Amino acid sequence: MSATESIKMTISVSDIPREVEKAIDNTPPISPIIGKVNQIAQEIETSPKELVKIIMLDPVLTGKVIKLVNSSFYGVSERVRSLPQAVILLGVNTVKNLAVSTSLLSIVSVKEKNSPLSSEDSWKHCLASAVGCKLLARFLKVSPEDMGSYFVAGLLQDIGKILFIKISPEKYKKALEEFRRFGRSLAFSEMAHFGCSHTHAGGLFARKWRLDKDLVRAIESHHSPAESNSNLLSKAVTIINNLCKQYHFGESGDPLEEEIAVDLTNRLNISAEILNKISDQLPAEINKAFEFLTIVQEHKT
Amino acid sequence: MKLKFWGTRGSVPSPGPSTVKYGGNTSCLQIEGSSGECIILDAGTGIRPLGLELMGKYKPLPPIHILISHTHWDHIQGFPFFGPCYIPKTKIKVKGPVHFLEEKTLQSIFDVQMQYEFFPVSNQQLRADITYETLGETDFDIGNIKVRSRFLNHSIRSLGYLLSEKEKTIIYTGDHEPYYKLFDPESESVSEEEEDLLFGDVGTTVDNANSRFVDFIKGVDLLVIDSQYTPEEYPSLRRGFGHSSWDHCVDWMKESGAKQMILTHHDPTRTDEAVDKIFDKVRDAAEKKGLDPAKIMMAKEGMEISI
Repeated sequence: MSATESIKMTISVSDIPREVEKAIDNTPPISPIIGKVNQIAQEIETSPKELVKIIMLDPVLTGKVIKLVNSSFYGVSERVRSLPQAVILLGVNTVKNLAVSTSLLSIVSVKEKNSPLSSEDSWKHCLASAVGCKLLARFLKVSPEDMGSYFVAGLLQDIGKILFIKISPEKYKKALEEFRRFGRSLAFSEMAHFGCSHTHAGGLFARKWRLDKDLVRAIESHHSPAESNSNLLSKAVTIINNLCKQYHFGESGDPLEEEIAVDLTNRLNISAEILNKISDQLPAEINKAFEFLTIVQEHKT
Repeated sequence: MKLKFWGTRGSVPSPGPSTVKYGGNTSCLQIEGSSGECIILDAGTGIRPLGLELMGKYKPLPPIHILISHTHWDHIQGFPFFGPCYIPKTKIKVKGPVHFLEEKTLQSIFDVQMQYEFFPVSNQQLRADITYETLGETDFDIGNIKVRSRFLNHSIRSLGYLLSEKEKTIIYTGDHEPYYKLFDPESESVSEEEEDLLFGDVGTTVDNANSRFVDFIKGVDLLVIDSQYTPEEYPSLRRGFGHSSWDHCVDWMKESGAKQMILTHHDPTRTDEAVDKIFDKVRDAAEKKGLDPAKIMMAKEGMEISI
């Protein structure tokens, strides 16, 4: 039995530890986004395009907005799976205010100074995975309606790690050190320190945020794509996750799972040429995001 | 059901010689059920004269049900001046949505409006028996009138209400504009790739949300609808403000098979003459679409209709 399987037997959504639940609600956006969000707070008219672009760069904000629109209170009949859908249904103003209040929360919360992963590097990894998943979805001829899920799945795959760092950066640092030193699986180390793996914590997050079940599965099984609850989305995340690690697009903290990724690409008939095309496009996409944020910071000063 | 308009103006009260015909009070409609149910849709400044009429007509006052479409000023600012709030033992139920459910209740928003800095009497000092209920999308009864609430598209969470009694139906949209794609690719320099990445999957969402609105108003006997803008103002200047243009309303009447339509929430800059001109255009457009222009009216303060 793998570590991940054993966790599934011991934790269910109904008994999320209080500490974890509180951390889910209070998790702030990741730092490169805060400056931009606070700038838009001062603008009366916000371009929907800009707003979506900012929020899409942040896993926590993206998840919170999707959670809000999917909450039973808003009674939206179709399950919303992407940020643009959420913005259309909730309105630009609502989403802007949500983003602002979430980012204000981050200002009063304790900064994770001892985080074992640089927030910029882990953010870069999330963003590269998000863009990569969407590019791969095109090659897999996924329907336009489902494209948004691929972006969101890539973006949110490591939300469990953000949660752990939020709960205790020191403990997560130890988990990473032990995993590197003793050659354990990362899931095992995470379980020893937090009671579950980041994939499982991410799944709890995603359920609490009322994300689509395919997204929940993708987050839960992106390191174990062979499991029965894995889907095409989670396989895509696994492949792109590995591609990003291979080409050092950001830093995720976990090791390359080359064998799994090769096996999946073979099974899904994804050629090396396709993966090369995706990896060629990724730096430009990441640079665009950086430029976007940098321009705004310069404006502020 | 009997319906009476007490406030037809959007955004801000607009009294003066140029708004005498259509009125200057902000949103407020009264619905009286055949069993005497007293329902008030929105508590803009029109609710003040309505309160005076109710107090003159009934002793004691009947239970009053106030349904708020949303909590922008022009839909709640008359509440502190609603006379029945000051009459002991009067039962007033206020229902409506809040923006973020986790953060505030409907009562807390009404409390803020009556803080000492803004008004000399606090909400807690009102003598009537007032209860508040935060609403989402739901169905409930007020006497023999069935009420259904649905979220529509405004710059804050806003509910439209469907009221039905003896197979007759009225819909009050509150503030609403069509759902739309987030940006116009023609007016913004966005590469095809970026458009796909950011917005590629939203077309269906927009269509579904707009179809859901048409389903909500389908076949209604009377549609009371936000029509603040003109087609000249809307696309370039007012899209995203959360209000419709009159041509949207005509299209929706055609699409939904609504039997009668009253356009309300007139822009505060609109003089009586300007509203008359719009009305002429609305009737022409309706006729061209094969609709009966006689089934469309512009809301006027004091106007009464029975269905």
